[in-house]
Amino acid sequence: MAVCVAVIGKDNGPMYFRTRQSGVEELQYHFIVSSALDIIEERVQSSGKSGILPGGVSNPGALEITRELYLGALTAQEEYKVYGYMTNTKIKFVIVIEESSTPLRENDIRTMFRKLHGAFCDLMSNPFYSPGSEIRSKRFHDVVNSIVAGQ
Amino acid sequence: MAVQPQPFSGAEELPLELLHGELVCSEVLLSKDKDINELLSKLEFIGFSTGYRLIERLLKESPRFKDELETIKFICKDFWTAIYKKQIDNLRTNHQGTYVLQDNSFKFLSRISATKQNLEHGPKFLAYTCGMVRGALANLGIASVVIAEVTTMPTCRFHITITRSV
Repeated sequence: MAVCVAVIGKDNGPMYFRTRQSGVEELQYHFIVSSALDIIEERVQSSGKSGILPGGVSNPGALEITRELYLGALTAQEEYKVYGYMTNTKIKFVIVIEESSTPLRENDIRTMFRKLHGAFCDLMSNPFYSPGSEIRSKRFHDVVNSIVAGQ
Repeated sequence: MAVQPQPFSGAEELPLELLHGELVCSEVLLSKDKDINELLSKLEFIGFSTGYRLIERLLKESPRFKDELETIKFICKDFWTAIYKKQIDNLRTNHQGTYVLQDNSFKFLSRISATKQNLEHGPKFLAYTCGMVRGALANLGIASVVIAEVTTMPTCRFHITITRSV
């Protein structure tokens, strides 16, 4: 189940941050998301020219994997897993999933990100939204709600 | 089975064309008292916002770009097709950040007759598109300057110069 959804702007500042419960917990998720950003950066950069992994091992598949917008699982701890997604315009989406009894399939996560990206595109098409600013749209909020609720 | 009639075939993009033409004529050509450059830059900025927002949607399904050239190619093909239903006819580059995009029958110029008098108005019809290209590139993290020139109607060239931060 998704416990935190974050949209991070081009300059790595948060544009939208939503946790299932607000309060002390929220701060913890800020920390998790921020640390995930470093991993996103790493993944996107290593996708550059060569398909060579840090160990010097050549990985022909690396290019293909990282050219995709969906970046996969970034980190995993005992109680949560962090997934990342970066649009072509360098907007990052991070979703924190709580490890629970019913494990989520990879496809479900992809669907979540696709939904989120769709909502973001709609938001960008709204002339009242100025790009890069904090997201206050109700429509966007509803989509995130449905993700958090697991629908 | 009856064939579905297509009463307005070919007119799908006409509203955009007419809106743009009207925008240029009423805002720029007919306003005598204001500074023309100021009006053109306003028009360019409208284009900038359009491109900035549009590219987000166009790139929703596409994989990440490898390099700058690939991005420009996207502008030439998919971006242009999305707006003008055609591709750029010719792309040239010096591989150092300058790209020249040539469109042999630019839509916004295609309705204007190619007289000498009209030729001087040509660039005014390109400001919006210049802005659109600049906006799209800006959202992709490429700062650029886009200049357009009209040689003979309806052919026009867009010069994209990438400005690299030192």
